[in-house]
Amino acid sequence: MDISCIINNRKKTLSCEAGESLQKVLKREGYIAVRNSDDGEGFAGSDTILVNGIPKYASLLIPGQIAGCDITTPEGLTKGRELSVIQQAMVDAGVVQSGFNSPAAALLLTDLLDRDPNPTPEAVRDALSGLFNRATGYKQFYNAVELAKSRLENRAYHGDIIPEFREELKHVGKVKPKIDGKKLVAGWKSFVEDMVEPGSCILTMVTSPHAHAYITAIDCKVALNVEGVVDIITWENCPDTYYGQAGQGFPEPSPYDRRMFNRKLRHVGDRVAAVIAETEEAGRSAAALISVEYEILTPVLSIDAAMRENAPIVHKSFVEYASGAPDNLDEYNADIDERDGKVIYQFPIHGDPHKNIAAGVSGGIGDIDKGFADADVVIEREYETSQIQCTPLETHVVYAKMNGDRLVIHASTQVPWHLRRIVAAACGISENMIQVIKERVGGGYGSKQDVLLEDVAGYAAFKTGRPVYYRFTREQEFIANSTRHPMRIGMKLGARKDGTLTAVYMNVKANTGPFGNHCLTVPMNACSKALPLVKCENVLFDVTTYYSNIPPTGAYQGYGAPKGSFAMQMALAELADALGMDQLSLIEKNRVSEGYMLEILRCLGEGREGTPALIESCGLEEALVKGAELINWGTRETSENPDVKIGKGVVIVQQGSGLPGLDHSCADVKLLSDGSFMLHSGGADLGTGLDTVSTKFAAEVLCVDMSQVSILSGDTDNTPFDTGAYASSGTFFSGSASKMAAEDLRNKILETAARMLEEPAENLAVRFPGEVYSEKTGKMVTYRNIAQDVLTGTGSGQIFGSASFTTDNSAFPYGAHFCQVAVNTITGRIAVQKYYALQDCGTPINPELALGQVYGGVLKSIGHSLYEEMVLDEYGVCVNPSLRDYGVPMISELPEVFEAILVDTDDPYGPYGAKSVSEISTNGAAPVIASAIHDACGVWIRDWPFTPEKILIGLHKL
Amino acid sequence: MIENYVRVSSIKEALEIKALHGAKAGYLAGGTDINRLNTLHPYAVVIDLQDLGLNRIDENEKGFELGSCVTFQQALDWKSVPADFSEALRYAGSRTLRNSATIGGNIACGLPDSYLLPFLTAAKVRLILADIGSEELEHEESVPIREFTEHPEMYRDSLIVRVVFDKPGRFAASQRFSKSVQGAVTLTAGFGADFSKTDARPLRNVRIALGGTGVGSHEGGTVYRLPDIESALSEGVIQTASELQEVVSKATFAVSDFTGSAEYKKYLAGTAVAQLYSRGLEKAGRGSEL
Repeated sequence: MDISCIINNRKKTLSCEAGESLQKVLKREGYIAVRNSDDGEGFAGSDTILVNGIPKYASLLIPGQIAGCDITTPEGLTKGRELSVIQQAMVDAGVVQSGFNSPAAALLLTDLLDRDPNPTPEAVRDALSGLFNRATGYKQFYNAVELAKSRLENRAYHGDIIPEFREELKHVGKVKPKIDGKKLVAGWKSFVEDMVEPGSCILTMVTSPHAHAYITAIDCKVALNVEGVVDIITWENCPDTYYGQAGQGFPEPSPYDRRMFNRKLRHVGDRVAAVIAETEEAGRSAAALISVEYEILTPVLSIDAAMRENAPIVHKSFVEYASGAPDNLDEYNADIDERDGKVIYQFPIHGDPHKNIAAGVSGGIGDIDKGFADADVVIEREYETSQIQCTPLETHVVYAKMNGDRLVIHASTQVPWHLRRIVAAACGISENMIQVIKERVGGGYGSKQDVLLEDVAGYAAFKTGRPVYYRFTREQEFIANSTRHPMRIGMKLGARKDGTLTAVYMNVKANTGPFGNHCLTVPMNACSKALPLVKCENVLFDVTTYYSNIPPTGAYQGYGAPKGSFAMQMALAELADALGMDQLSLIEKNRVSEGYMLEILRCLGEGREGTPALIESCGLEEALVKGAELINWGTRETSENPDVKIGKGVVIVQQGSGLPGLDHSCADVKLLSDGSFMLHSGGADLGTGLDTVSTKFAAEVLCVDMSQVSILSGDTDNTPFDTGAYASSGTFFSGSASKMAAEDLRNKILETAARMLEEPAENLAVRFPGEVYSEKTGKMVTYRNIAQDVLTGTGSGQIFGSASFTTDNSAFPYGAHFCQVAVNTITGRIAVQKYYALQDCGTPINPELALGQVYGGVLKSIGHSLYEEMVLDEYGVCVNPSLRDYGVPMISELPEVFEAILVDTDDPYGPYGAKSVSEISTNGAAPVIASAIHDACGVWIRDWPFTPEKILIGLHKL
Repeated sequence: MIENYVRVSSIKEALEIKALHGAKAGYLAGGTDINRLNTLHPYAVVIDLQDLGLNRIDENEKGFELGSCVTFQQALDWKSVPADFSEALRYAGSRTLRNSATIGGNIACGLPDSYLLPFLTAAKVRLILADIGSEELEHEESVPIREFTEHPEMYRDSLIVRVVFDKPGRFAASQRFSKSVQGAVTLTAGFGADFSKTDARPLRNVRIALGGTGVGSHEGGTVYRLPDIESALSEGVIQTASELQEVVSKATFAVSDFTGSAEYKKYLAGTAVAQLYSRGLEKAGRGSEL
């Protein structure tokens, strides 16, 4: 049918099917900013449009409903290349990070300010109530509205809404528009889905309905005859290569325990067959015609079930070691089932797959027995964390195509180089045959550190020669994407009467699910980011990770730290309670500080020996003092409602800044012929502003305006190597590489200028806006002149700087989180009234984006603590695989008072004093809310999420 | 999958198309349910009502009437919207959703997790339904919402035209419980009664209506009522909120699922109904308990 309407002030006729989603129709017609995040659930709001001026979800409309209507899509907000006032305010306020539904947010705020030029905070919340934003935690939208409101009255208004740092620097620490902010908020071509060419094939995955089963027969003959079907890949015809999907540095501390397709299926949603077809409909039809017979096995769905004697074995596989194989390996492999395939360890990580153990590690310092013997009080507790979804607005997606004989992969990834390595191995080709282009990432949060689709889509394109597009549905995202490992953490603390810790024991049991992605490092990280927060001479930890048949696990912002932090900080709170001591006083008594040597790190390397580190900068003292003031620590608050009890909590948190000794970043910068610069960074900006960080560093070093530096990043053909954006490495590693490359270039510019000015280079310096001058003679030459000199027929050739950054030095970010909760003792309802996150990230390079990272991280962890949970039934089927049923936090869930505060420290190892900021923010909410709940109503909740039902059970009302 | 879209220009036309296609056809108001992922109403033919003028709100001496295509947001923006109705409308936590979702659509879909049905049942609203009679003549009838929800099979071809609030002195309110504002609902409880400030018998015409995920049997209805308890309360057999809490908890049928255990839902049902009852008493000036 044809539907006539007006779209963005132009008459338009849409050709469509009667029942098609309007979102799909608009997207097909070129309105690419009308995006899909929920497959028509009507929840996330990425598909927002205005219908006759009223915001509606396009995916909840069919085309006929808008016949004769006036439609505005996000594309209608810009005039040419000029952003609207509201769009620009969003960029300036720092709310455009991953940006997947920033265009939709701009539409909602446009509608708001049209309706009400002076909206209250309640009106802002109401306007954005239909928008899911995982990245920035909503808070800064209020700033964006204030900014826009003021600029609509006075265009020149700049505002003073975000603190700035480092007066002596021009770009670093200053509020500057995120360099990709404009194209993201405008909804211009940015994401993988925007790169798909007409006529591309669609990959439809047939997935396992069983959590644990063998494929006994699979027949694709009928399906292959469906018109439009190009190929079908199954375990029978895929490459016989084992690999892992964890995007970690090689050799990985994770086993290679899967083929592209396996005969044994290990979770509901596991791959059975990939149909490559010319249309979605053909793919769906063919998928339904594939005949599969299964031998169903008993699923293993918990740590307890995995540990049980005679438990079903998830990997009864042939085990190999690339190095360090144990002597009894032949004996070990005597009793296997060939259908289970192989598990290949790159080096021993204490795995015992035939007992469902994927990995293990133990370590410690001092004498733990003596420590407990010296204690006046010993407490032992157990804490559990649940399986949590990353829920990026852009689900996992890839577009793979051939360029001659080379495979080109447009990826939404945090690890372009690891991705290339893994796909090359999976396809059995060399890395030079593959180009990975990292597009803008519509939310990753760790899950896009794993290579979940690119292997099969890349192979499909390589095999068929056809361009292949593969995108997870939201439901697939829930059942086949990496999630937080469920963990059970036993804590035993010993302390003297005055609160001095004498012994700390941490026993981590983790559930890695069907495959061993990050199976050693995530659980170990629970220890390595929790234990070094306290000064204690006797520390011991044990880590064991179990295979099971739950949906896959992997990396999620914070890695293992949010779980370890929950256990450690809760145990401290419970110890304070047992000692009759104030929680903050106990923390103050035992916390680390600047100059403290972290010996415990010696045994906390990632699969290898670690290195002790000195704390060079630590903002904990200031954070605790300020936070205590803000929340009136020590004052008991009361509610007008006698059924509502109010309590407060405090925790301290830490993270790392990348992985010293493991991470590696490279960059180069070229001087262009007009004196401007092109920066090539290996770093993978996943929406956090890493490209802006790198650009700022180069502009700062070279003394030019940021507009004089352009950046290309994360393209394996055109930029140098980088291990990727994970472990909070972006600013510290990739940023340092960019800074060093610019410094290298600056030195070369000075050498050339010295020749041109006939002065020694040591007399010369660079200065704004891009020139070299002599401090002695006052002679000057511009970058343009230098570039032209070297690029003439007689010149020395293009000047470029390059750098390769590695380090053994650590820069630890710290923070203190305070919160106040109100607990209704009749209904169990928990309200977070106040939340203060005080973060020491060294020098905040992009202060507005750093704050957004903190707000986003905290709100994610509030979600994990109070609302979110993947629930599996007895067969391993996730029963709530939608954003609504799963329970992601929306703007309505913001704490009533919510403040992120950047505590100023200057780290000697970080570039311009910077440390990481993003991941650490996820570590505080669970323990601080749980300890505040106890303060309010006397109930200790030791497992996620803290539901009203658990409160009522704790109060003995259920 | 929708194969045919028809935008109608009269109620009669809508009824005729519905009669022609029977169960394959459905009335389309905002579309938030019919067009939604995994909808429980997968019609082949949809009959769009947007040109029928069913989006009016009219006040009269007895109360007010809402056209069935009035959206949640339109009702919220209406200056005279009663506070307790406003609260129920806000259970749809997304303004964008409220811009599309209609009052009539929410009633007609009859979902267990309906935002409005427990409140509307407690409020004893009446529905004006349009039908085609035996001589193919269009006619309207007024049906209590209780009747509509308890016997949906009798009204499957009817078109809801208006929703009538004609009991101005009546107390009606609801409470909704979910982990997050827009998360899956655990339980929605509605309570309504005609309270008297002076009579020895303090309340009459009690309605207790429960909905939610895994709450109620839904056999023959989309909200779960507790008629015996309603009568006992009207007749003074139950007097205190704590008695009411206990009997409602006991009488509520619930199953455990991802939104909570059966025991928790039963507890919430009792607690919510008792709290609403106390609110009604207080509003009537009779103290929080008799």
